[in-house]
Amino acid sequence: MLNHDALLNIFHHYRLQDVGSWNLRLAWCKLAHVCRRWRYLIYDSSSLLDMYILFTNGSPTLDSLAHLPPLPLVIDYSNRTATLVRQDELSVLTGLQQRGRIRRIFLQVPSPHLGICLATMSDLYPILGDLTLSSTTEEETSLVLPSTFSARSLRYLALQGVGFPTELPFFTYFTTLVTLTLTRIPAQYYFHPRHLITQLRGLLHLEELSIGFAVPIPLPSTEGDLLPAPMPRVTLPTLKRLMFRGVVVYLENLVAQINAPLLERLTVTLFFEIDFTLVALPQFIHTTPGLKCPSAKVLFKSEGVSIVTNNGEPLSSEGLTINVNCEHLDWQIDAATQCCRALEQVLSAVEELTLDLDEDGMPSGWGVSLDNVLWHGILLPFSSVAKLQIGSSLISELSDALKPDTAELVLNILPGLQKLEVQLPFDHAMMAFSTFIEARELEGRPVVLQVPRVPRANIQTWLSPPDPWENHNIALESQHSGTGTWLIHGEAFLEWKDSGPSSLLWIHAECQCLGARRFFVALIIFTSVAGAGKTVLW
Amino acid sequence: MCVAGLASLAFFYCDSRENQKKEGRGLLTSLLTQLCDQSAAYWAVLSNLYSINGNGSQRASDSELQQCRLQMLKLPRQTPAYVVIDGLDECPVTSGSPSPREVSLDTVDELVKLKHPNLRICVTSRPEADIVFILRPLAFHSVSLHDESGQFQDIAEYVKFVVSTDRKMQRWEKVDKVLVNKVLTEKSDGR
Repeated sequence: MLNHDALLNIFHHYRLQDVGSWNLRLAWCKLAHVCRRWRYLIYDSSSLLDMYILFTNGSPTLDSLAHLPPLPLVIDYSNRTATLVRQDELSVLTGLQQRGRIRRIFLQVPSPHLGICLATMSDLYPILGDLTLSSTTEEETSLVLPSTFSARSLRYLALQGVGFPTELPFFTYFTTLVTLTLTRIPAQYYFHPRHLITQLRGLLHLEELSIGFAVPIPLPSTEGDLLPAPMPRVTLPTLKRLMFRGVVVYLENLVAQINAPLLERLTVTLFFEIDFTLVALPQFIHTTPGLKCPSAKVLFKSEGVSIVTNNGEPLSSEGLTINVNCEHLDWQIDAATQCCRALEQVLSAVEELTLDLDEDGMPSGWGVSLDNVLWHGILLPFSSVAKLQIGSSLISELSDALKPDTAELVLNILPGLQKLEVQLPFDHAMMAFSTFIEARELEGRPVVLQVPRVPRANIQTWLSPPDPWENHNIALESQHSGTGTWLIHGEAFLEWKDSGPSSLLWIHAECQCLGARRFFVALIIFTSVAGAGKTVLW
Repeated sequence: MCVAGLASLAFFYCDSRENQKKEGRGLLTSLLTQLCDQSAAYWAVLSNLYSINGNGSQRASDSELQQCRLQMLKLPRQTPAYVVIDGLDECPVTSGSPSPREVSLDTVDELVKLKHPNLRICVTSRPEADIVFILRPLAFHSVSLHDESGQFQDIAEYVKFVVSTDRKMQRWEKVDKVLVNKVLTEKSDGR
């Protein structure tokens, strides 16, 4: 008879063969029905075998859980494209009643359905580790998490379009939280930063925090409430990622009160305001070591402008993103200018700057001629930039803006610039930026124009030249030491080697299969071995 | 692996058995890409041509490629560039107008007339009439391998090498080998 370990191993492999059905179709039931020994073994090892009862779109209808073992429950209706039928709704409600057994809830459903579910969630969920409630209804809702809801093991909480009751104290019930996401917060569940920070103090494991409001709130008339940043800073010792979406004064008030020494990623999305002041944000960024980044990008898109910094490594998540939502390009430039000016202290360390326009989503008003001086405002704060990249759609704008006759100012822009990289064929790029390059040359601060290096493989495919090495290798194989060298050391060759412009050495023979070809090999070896060769000989 | 050094080398074997290697275009594209591998400045010129041809979606015309080569060789640079074309007679005279051989000879002609201070060109070929007609006046030096005794020495060495290393020949009697060496060396002028 197989021992328990061997059996469990077999069960484990059975599970891996079709992970999809294991919980979704209750595939483990089949094994449990084989014999009593198997049943006991499986139920005793349920966590090892990752067994749970799954409620999801299209899962078997579970009228009653009575005949199933007391396994943990997972309620997952996260498929936005699936429609929620009456049967599903009943399943969810059946599941939600088993509070003590629910491990994970993910509901991404229209707000009426979500409202019904929320109404039942007013108690303690002792093993719930992961809760996501997201309303798929675009319009603002008045949904709110019941204030009596609590979960002592909750590590991940996301509410999207669902309010968080302000009277609910995080620190008592959610001290285990690692990720807290409150986005599309309905206006009626707005909370003051002070309130948020008080709650955050108790979250000693929090690594990711997202706060996003559905609408610009508070209204300018009540902003006065946020102006003084009164309290001493609260340190969030484990926070690595912070996301914010809202109005400037709220953000300013929030970051004036926190310290996040381990912060790696800060993403801020601001509703457009004609005129705004950023004071606390630059200070906060400046004092956060993980946000110093040598490379930056200003990207204009249909929905707004983004200023993104990163540490230059493509896969790294470290850095800063500031988005300002507005559609018109001139507003976007203005908003970017205000941000860059405010962040001068941070951006002055940037060495590589990219300006680009999202070709899939152009901002409106693009192509209308703009005052060149507008662009200078964005560029001025980047005082240490050595390399500037300009995307192809912005070339005519930027080449105009960098024309030295447009303003005296242009010579003070990007004083450390050494390389200008443009997404254009070299000739066209040169034509566009010649006056700028000449002016910088005269100033004694030359700028080199670079066009993107086309990968070797692309050129290879495009021209598909015959492979010179193919025959060369044949020749090399037949080559042996000594041959051909007589010619290399001969007078004719030596004279030719050091001769005048474009001189031609013509070697002719009736039979070229030996001498000439081997001379040729010798020549290649000569040019490489003698140190005169930059050949690709291997 | 690229060996860093002081000169660029581009070479091309004409080969009548391969379509690409007997055509003027093959010669052109091969020389261009080889030169590009050796200098960032050359690369920029070819990249430029690539970009203006719809990022490689259109075929570059022969005249564009010639223009490109001219542009490369005109770039100011200090290190010598060696262009070696082997077996030019393998480019056929027959097909097309201009024929592949005409294109290749034009290439040599153009390179020589460029009077580029750092360019050296070497061509090997059989002395066929049309080639002689074009190359003789252009050549700074012409070397006939018939005139050079070193050639025979070379061939003797080569034959000795083959006879002593070829597995089939290794089984031959020593006397036979000596005879083979003697005969082959004497008659190795291709006739």
